[in-house]
Amino acid sequence: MKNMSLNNLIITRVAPALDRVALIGNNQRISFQDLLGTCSGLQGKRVAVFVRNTIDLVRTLVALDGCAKTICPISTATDTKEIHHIIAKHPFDVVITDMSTRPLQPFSDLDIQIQNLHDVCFLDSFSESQNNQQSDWLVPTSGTTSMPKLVSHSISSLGASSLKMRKLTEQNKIWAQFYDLTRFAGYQVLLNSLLNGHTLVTLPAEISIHERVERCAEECVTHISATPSQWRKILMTGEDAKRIPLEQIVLGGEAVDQQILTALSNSYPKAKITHTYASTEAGLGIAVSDRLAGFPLSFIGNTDGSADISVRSGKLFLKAPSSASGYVDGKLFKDLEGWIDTGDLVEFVGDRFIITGRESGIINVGGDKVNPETVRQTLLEHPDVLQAIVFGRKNPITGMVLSAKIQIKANVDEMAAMTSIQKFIKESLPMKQRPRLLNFVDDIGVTLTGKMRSET
Amino acid sequence: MTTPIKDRISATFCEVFADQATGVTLPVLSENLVLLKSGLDSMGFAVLVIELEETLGYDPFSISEEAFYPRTFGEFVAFYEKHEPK
Repeated sequence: MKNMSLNNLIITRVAPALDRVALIGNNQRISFQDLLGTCSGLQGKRVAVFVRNTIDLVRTLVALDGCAKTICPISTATDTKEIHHIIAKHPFDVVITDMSTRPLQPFSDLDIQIQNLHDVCFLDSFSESQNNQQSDWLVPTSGTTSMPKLVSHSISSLGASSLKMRKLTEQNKIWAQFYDLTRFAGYQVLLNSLLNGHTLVTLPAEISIHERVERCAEECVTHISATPSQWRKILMTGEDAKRIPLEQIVLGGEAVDQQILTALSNSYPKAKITHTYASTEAGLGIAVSDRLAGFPLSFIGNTDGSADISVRSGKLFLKAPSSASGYVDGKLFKDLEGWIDTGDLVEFVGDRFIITGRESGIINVGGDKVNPETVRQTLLEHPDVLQAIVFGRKNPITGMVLSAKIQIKANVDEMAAMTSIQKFIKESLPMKQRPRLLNFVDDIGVTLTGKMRSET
Repeated sequence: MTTPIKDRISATFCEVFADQATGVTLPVLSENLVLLKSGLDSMGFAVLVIELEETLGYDPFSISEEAFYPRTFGEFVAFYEKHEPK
């Protein structure tokens, strides 16, 4: 099954239930049978996929796997600078899109052929002889440095945990989409439903949390995977959230605290609650369902689980069968034995180990990774700013809030500077990198080593 | 009914709202106002909780053993009142 295309995997694994609903969109229900097919003219091409409509996106990905040489789905929510950065990393031949002219500028700038989704010739049937290519899937990281890297995966590494399930269940499970499908966590949800005959309720990013929860209740959603920040928002809808008949809850993408696990246990006493540690590079590393924050110490050195775990100099190292092969530019992230240095710091608390942050100082804000140094450098570009420090401040709603302490220049009016800096932040930084809490201080503390003090 | 804590939460809410929810009209802070429909996003709430910790001197979400996420403004205020350090 290792080198099968998505088409073949679906046929093999979901038969005899191909008439089941695979995807639910707004007023749209698509069966597994409807998803099967390929597209002509893209054999062996290096294809970027920049498609907003989720159902069209999934159809395109199924059609491309086994046909295109490389497939790189890029979220249409990505800002122009990041798109430029991503597409410059690989010699793409073509981008398939349902977007209009302006967001496509970065592709035109690099002379990548733009093909409108509606002009792509989809064929309902597919011939295995045309689809014998093992497509390389390029997955952007969530930007652990200032810009995302492109990680090279295959369907068997991306879908490793989905492919573990062997038997088609009589009753299909119903997943709801809380992640962008072009991110690693999104692929897990997509492939878990596609490869196991389950239904996925697609939810556009722009709809409110109340609408999302309502849709989940209406569609009788049984499985949701989301970040702790998203789960807190789900629970803030009160009784509405309890109407979702959840059987499986998955949390990942940022630190999971005991409060959210307890709150979820209280709201969904019968559901299985699993929290995970995963990364685009390592794949799904650790998963535990005992409703306790952190991970059991007994996992370390134990080779029974999905990944081997080791802690060296206070840092988490993983050796996972689902790990990617490398970055697309050829840079390696594994040592000779296959161990990946995750860069995440580990602390031991009783019989558990918890992830406390990143060695690089990168802050996880609601699942998005933000480099405080990049944000600080931007703040320093403002003419009123003398010094600044940027740090994550813990809070019970989103885990971390990006905060900044700013020392403004002498003789600058504070009120005017605050308004001007706030405007500057909105104009200069993408939403996830904007400090939400700004404080002016008379003096930024400097430690004895000469470094500016940061705090958490 | 207004209480000292409710008044201070309302005042802080208005200040945070002005900073975090630009271009949105401040809602009437009624008991039944649904927090995530007020125009303040979850990151805005996180800022509100942090600002209130400075103003009131405590964060009930951290000191409470209850795992609770309030839905309405009324529930939010009640949670602060219930966990006010004596």
